[in-house]
Amino acid sequence: MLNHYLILGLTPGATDQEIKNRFLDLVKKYPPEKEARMFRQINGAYEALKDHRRRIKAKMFHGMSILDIEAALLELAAALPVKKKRATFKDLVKFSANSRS
Amino acid sequence: MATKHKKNKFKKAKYQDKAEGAPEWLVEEGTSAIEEGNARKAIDLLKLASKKNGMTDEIRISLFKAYALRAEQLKTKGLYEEAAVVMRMMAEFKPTSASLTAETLPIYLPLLSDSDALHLYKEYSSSRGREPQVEAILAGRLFIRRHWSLLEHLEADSPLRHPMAIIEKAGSLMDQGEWERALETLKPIPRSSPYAPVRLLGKAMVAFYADDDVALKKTLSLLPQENPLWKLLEPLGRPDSENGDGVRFQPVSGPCWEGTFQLKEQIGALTKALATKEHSAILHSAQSIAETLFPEDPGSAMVQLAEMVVANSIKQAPVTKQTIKLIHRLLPGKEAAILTAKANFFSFLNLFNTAEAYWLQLKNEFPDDSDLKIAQSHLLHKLIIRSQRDYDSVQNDFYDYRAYLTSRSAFGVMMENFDDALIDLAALSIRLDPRNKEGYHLLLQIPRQERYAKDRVEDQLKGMIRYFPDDPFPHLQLADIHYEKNAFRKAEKALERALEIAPHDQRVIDRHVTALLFTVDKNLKKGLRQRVVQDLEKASTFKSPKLTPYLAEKKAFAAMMHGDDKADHDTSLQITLRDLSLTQKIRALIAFETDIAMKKIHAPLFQMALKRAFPHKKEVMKLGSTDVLSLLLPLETILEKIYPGVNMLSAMLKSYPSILSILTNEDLIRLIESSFKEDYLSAFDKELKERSQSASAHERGLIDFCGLVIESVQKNRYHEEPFRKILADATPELASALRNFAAKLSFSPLLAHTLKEALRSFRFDMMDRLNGPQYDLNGFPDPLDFTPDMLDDLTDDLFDMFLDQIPQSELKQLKKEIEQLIDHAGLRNAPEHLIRKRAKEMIKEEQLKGPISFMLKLLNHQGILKGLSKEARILLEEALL
Repeated sequence: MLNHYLILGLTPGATDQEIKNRFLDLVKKYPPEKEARMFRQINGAYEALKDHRRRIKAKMFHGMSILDIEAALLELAAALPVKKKRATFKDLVKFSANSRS
Repeated sequence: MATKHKKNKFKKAKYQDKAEGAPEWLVEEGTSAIEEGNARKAIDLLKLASKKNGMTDEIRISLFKAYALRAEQLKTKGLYEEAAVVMRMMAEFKPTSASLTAETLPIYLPLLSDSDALHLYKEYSSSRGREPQVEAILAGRLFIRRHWSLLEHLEADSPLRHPMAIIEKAGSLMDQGEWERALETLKPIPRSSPYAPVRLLGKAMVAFYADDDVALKKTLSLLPQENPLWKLLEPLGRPDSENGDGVRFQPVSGPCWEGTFQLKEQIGALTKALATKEHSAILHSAQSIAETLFPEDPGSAMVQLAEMVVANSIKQAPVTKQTIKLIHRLLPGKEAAILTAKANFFSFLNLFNTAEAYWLQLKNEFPDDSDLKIAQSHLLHKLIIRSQRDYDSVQNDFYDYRAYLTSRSAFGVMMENFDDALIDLAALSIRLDPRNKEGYHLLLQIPRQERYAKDRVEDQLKGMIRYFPDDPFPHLQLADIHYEKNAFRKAEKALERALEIAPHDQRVIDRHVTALLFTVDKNLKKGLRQRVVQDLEKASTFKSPKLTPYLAEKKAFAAMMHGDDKADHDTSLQITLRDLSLTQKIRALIAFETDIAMKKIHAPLFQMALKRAFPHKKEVMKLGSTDVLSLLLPLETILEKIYPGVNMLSAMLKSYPSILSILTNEDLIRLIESSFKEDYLSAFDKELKERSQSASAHERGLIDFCGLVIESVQKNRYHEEPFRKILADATPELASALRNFAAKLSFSPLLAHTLKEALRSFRFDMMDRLNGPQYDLNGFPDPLDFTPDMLDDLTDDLFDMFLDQIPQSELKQLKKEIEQLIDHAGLRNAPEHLIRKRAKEMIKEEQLKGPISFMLKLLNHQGILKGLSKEARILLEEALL
């Protein structure tokens, strides 16, 4: 369940309205005709989270039903949006020097 | 020392052999050695070459490179003094400006310090003119290391010195990550300037942060790869080669991207901590993962992570003190209490007690009232599902729980009887969340023999109609309830209402047709011909492919019952089945056969018609696996009302014994999942054994596993080892398939409790516990050594002699252990029928037959039987019967 929140960039405590608004924002940013893969992920996450009843059930039982914690966490890692980080020139130099050594 | 000296001599000799007449070879080998990173070999070879043919420029340059490489290698190993010595030797081969050319200059410069490189270039350019490419490399180096003071030795109008003010300012902005402003500052730098690559660097970074991968790619293509600034841009990403135009940069590890890279390392740390069970390491790893995942709200992520960690722990063993301790390390007070209750509930021991404990925590987990009700409803669903799956052991839990209740349960329902309790809990779940259809579906799955249960279900369905007025489902179910209560008019009205709501819903149509067939059947028994004809005509107006065979069957049956057939013509059966497909025909015929048996029809015409109409074996054996599977799977429950006791699989196996051979391995497994009954186990076992060798690895795993389960049931023996072997060799896909298969089989009522539990939890070590110390009667001759036959062989005298030697204290201990067995099995205060039922199950387990028989004989002999509790006496008496 956490991976759905990650894909939408929300915290687990998000409300119905927050989930809907974020979904609409993301669909504008990643329309299906241009970003098919991303759209499918976003749509799938929204479908899983939009139902309030289902969210409650997931909150109660999902974590306890995980049988393979490593696989579940790696799936979360895959869902975590990779973001650009503001690097400085010194960061680049340091990284290059460390890579060479 | 002597050895080293010998070694060196040997080396020299080796090279000297090759050196005769091959100086070029030496230089070539030396150059290759540098490229391979073997500096010492390079130095030896090149020195030899120089001794042979004198110091050429090529050798000088190569030696300089080799020494530089060696010095770097020593510095890397921390051998700085040795590196300094090598660098002094390197200086011997330092190039002079006169010896350099436009080609060799760029090779040399990277090997020199900034100061030496600048100095060398200054000398070179004063006599040979500028080399813009070299200046750019020098500019790149200077920009990286910011050794601006070195430029003071250059002329003021030198291209390297001239734009210093701009470059320094840009550098300062870049150091703060202000790429856009830095680029703006670098605008006056022309393309011909040695600092043009710095401008390109800025441009690339700006394009990167502006998500302009096209501009980024173009800029990178303009930056020469030999420029030192090129390497700095590697962390921007890899161009996606799968993408058609290659302009999507994929993230790589480095300072410019964050996300997956850190998380994978953290996951690795958590997995390691879980293996060592170090609580503080688990806490630290989980916290770091939570912060990476949700930096804005790590607390809520921590709750879910803690659940996953605990689920992982209780997978290996039930909730222990250590588990609870871990929970309290991971979470603060209130959350820890919730998770403890949840973990206990999920350990599936004492289900009702733990469900109640979690129920009481739900208001903390869901403070909002409406959320709380939904959550309570979900909890009840879970409890009911578990009860259905593992009816016997949950029933034990129920009576155990009820024994401890001093007043009404926290659920607020009466708990007199297990089946009624389930109905009441399902009704409560619906009351709490009437808009959740799952509650209604669960309610309908609970067995309802008594009037009380049927009335409760009817009430809830009427409620469902209010909440879902456009759904035909509750009307269909209401019709079933009315049929069960023999209220046929009400049933028909309910079906008509369903049809009004959804006239095109196939489910509704099928149900309507089924109801008509049911009425036809009833009226056939009563001999009401006219009504039968009317209802058959009405049923024919609906399009129901699923029920076509049964409609045809009833038509034929009715015609034959009414005496319409003549022996010398095609029978009604042959006529009505003529247009059906082969599988439909077979269904109709088996239904016809069932009808004959049910109605006790002895007229020869019927058997003759059946015989004539049944397809030949050759025809049937040509069917595909999918068709055969659809024939063999159990009929839908609703059809069983019209054909009670109908058994397609039995009938097919009887008529066509090798029918199972048509099924693919996958379909065979599906059939076994849905038809795991005692009558078919031998047929399944035989078929599985025949396929095992020729199956693919994946399918063989499933086949062998299935065979093991069947063998365990048939022989009543449970051993962990064969299951463990299959699982040890299983790929992750096979393990997952086996787990699903085991979960489905765990519902079968055929399984003894131990095997059921093993399949449900997918843990097979528990199967050997039957042989464990629980039944060890300390100090007694091991009763497991006594088979019932051996006991029978003991004469009474021998038995008496044997028993007289057993001390009283040990007999008392035996009595205590029997009472403990009663408590452990949850039979204290349980109704007699349940105790007797449990006793019958226990005695099936071969390992227990001997000890129980022995105990009873022993206790009876010593007169201790009278001193046992009522439950213990009933258990032992039933076991011995």
